[in-house]
This record gives sequence, C-alpha cells and structure tokens, in this order.
Amino acid sequence: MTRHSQRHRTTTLPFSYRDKGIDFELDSFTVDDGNQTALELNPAQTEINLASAVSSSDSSDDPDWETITLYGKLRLPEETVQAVFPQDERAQPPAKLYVAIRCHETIYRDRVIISEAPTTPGEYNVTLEVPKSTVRGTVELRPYLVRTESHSGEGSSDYAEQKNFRVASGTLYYVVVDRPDDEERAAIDGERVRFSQNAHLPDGNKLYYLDFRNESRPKLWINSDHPRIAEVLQSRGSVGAEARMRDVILDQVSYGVWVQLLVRAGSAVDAEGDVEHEWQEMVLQTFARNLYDTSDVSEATYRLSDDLSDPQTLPHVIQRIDSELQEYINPREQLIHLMEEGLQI
Amino acid sequence: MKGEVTLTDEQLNEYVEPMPGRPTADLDRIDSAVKQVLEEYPEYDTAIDGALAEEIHRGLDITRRTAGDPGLWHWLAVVRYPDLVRHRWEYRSEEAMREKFLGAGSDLYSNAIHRLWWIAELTSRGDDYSTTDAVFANQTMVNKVFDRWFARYQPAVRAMCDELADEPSRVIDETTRRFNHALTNVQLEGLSENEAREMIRQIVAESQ
Repeated sequence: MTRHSQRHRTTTLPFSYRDKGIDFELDSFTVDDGNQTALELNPAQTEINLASAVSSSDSSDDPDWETITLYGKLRLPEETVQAVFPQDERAQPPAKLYVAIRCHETIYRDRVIISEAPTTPGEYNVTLEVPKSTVRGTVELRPYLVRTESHSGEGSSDYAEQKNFRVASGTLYYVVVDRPDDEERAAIDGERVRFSQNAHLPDGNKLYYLDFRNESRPKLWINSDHPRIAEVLQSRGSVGAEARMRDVILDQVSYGVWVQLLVRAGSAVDAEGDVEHEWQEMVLQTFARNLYDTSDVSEATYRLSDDLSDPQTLPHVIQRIDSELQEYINPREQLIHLMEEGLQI
Repeated sequence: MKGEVTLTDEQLNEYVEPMPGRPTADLDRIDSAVKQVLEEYPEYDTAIDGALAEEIHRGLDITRRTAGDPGLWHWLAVVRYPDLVRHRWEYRSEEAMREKFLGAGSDLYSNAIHRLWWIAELTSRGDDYSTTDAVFANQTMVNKVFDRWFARYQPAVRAMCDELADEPSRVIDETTRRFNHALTNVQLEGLSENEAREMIRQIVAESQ
C-alpha cells in the first residue's frame, strides 16, 4: 500500500492539483543595502517576523527602511510534474512558476515570476523584493505553478486543460514587517522545534513542553515533529476548520501550561508573600484572587502557597485551579465552534 | 452619529496624533473640491463620488502603506470633512453611519473617503482617470466590482472596469459573478492585464 503523506493531498479541484507540490524555502534576507542575514527557520515555521529587524529607533515614526529582499529556493519535483501534466507535456511543461505577494492591509496583490514556460522540474533561485511603500503589517508569499497554454488533446482528462489554471502550489509564508502598536512582550516565550532532534526536550509524542531551565523566563516549546499539528497552530485565519481546530489545540495547551505556571508560582511565594520573577507575579495577580474569592491578592497568595505545601489541602487546591482555569480558558466555546464547523450544524 | 454636535479642537486633539512617515497632502485642493460638491450636488447624490475621487486621489500624496492606516481616513471623515460624509450618505442606521466615518483598512466599501481614494488608486493609470470616471458613472459597477476580492488585483480590476463600462447592470452582475467563479481554477495573480481582459471579454460575450 502506498503511504500518502500530507504533501500528497490534493484539493477538491476537478483536475489533478498538488496543494504542496512545490517546495518553497526562504533562507535569508537583506534590508536595503545591508548584509544578507540568514533566517534560520525551524521546521514547519512559516511566520517570519522581521519587525524588529526593520523597526525604527523612534517607535512613533515610520520604520527606517525602503526595501526588504527575501532570498530562497523553489523546487519543482519531478513527481509534481508527472501528477499534474499529461504524458505528452511532461518533457516541456507549458507552465510558469511565480510567487504571489499579498498584503491585506494595503489591498495589495502582485506576483514575481520565477520561471516562464516551459518550467521543467528542478531548483530555482528566488529573490523577492518587498517595497515598504506597498505593505504594512504582514505580507503573504505563496508559490504557484500555472498552465500557460490550453491542452490540445481530445476528450476528458484528469489534468487541468485550460490556460491560466493553477496546477500546484507551495508553502504560504507570513512575513511580519510591522509590530502591532499595542503588542506587549509576552510573559513567556514560545517556539516550535522538533523534540526528536533536541536532547533537552522530552522523548515520545509530546505536543508541548514547558521549559523551566531558566526560572526567570520559562519557555514553551511546541513539538514540530507533528507537522500537521504545527501547521494548524500556525494558521492565521479566523474562520474555517483550521482556525477552529487551532483554537481548540491552543486551549488544550494553555490549560496544561497555566496549571504548571500556577503551581510553580504559588510554590515560589516567600515568607514576605513575594515572588522573585515577573511571570510569577503576573500569574498570581491573574488567578489568586479568583481561586479564593477575595479581592486581597496578598491574602490569596499566602493561602495558595500554604495550600500547595500541605498534603492535606493539595488535592483541594488542584481542584480549585482546575475549576478556575475552566472558567478562564472557557474551552467549551471553542469546542462548540469546532463542532459546528466539523458537523456543519 | 445622528443629530448635530460641534466638537472643539481641544476635544479632538486628545485623539489626534501625527502620522508615521509624515505624509503630505494638498488639502486646499481637496477643500475646494469638497466645497464645490456641497454647493452643487443635492444630498445623497451618488454622482458626488465621481466628482471627488480624482481630486482626493491627486490631493493626497500617500503610498498604499499610508493608505492602510485607518487613522488617516478617520481624521479626514470625522475631523476634516464630516459635512461631506453627511451630505453624501443618508443616516439609515448607527452601524451604517459609523462605517462611513470609522471604517477603513482592507474593506474597500466602508469609510466614505477611503473608498473614493482606493477606487481611484486601483483604476487610474498615471494621470489618466478615465477608467475611474467610468466606474463612478455606473453605481452597479462600483457595487459589483469593488465588493469582490479580485478587485484588489489591479490588472484584473482595470480590465474588468474597461470591459464593463458600457454594459447594462444585468451583464455587469453576471460577468463579475462568473469571473469570480472562474477564479476557483484560475490563479488570479498569474493573469496579466491582457489575459484578464481576454477572459472577461469571453464572459461578457456569453453574458449578453
């Protein structure tokens, strides 16, 4: 039995189409005439945040750059050509390869041609210039392979036959060029990485791991050994099945993360009722009063600390934490959205 | 949103801030065009759009990046030209009027002034605003073309507006609908203006 991975999925188009039939990798960038800088993306990472690389020293003014240039490679595999073109066209596929550039905020849609017809299997260098005057916020980049001639053969076919029909596409990258105005630094960092290739991360099929090696700044690792899950977690939309699934997965991850943060923060309270690190204070400020139904955060913090340290009260405080997090995260809401999406009800 | 309230500069200043990049504009030119429109056109006349679009596009020396900042359009609609917004748009609901003053962003059809600038931006060719004029001369075209996502791709929107300029509403409706449907298979950014025109001509011929 042939094993089909996600990259071989086809869409519901009425002809052979490869949604991930083009390998697209961005590897470096330059800002204006500056040095070429490596991107060093994690596997499955499709969001490239260049906001800090191009931000102005004066945050009230426009960032001081004119053009970002991104470099990378497009690879058109032989198997894609075989899958989307009939036999008689495979030697010289009547197709062009390009990268579509879109920016939602500036109502901008354009493309950069990488190869005119015929486009044969192989590797192509990609250079994409993004002028500041045309973009803001997030820029989307996605490669497409499109027919340039109609097929002259007779009869119905499994292949796209008309000029301008798309036959394959590749990874959609999101390049962030502006930092949102109100973005504050997150209390903990997050990153996607392959657990299987990092000795300090747990074995097995873990979805995430909260890393306390640096107690002053915990880090959340998401396991990109599971590409489909990592892909869903990176989806940016607000509608559709992927977005609904993403919100449910995030709820699941955040429940486990908050439990750990709360127990750690509560256990770190000293005799004066203080904690050492900023994230601990943030966690206690957010949850402690609700756990004990009091407006006095100091009192709540002491009670949490005491309850966590006493084997008699520990089960009860864990139950309180569970109850509070169900209120806070409200997983029911996202689950219902997902069910409505999945069941079409 | 309804009724009359006069806001002083002091009341407004709290909410007004300089724009990044410090864009420039010939506001005198726009002032005079707006004044003329208020004097010459009756309330809620859709012809106001065509009379102002080119002047607003020429008067604002801005890039798409700047145009993507909602603050600019909020200032123009709320602070600079609120009388124009009320003259052009009849109050039908709080929500609709709020959109005309406080819409913007990627919704081409919201803010009263943003909408004029963007349609001119997408349809003008240098100093040639003939396609822009043709669009605003036909409200069906404004509604049916610019409410669709293909209108964000300049080669396609120009071809569409040129080819539909003299067509009746029924053909405009049918052609935009069928072109949009064709984009299920056709990748929009792959089309040159000529290729888009070729497709649209074929659809128009079939729709007549």
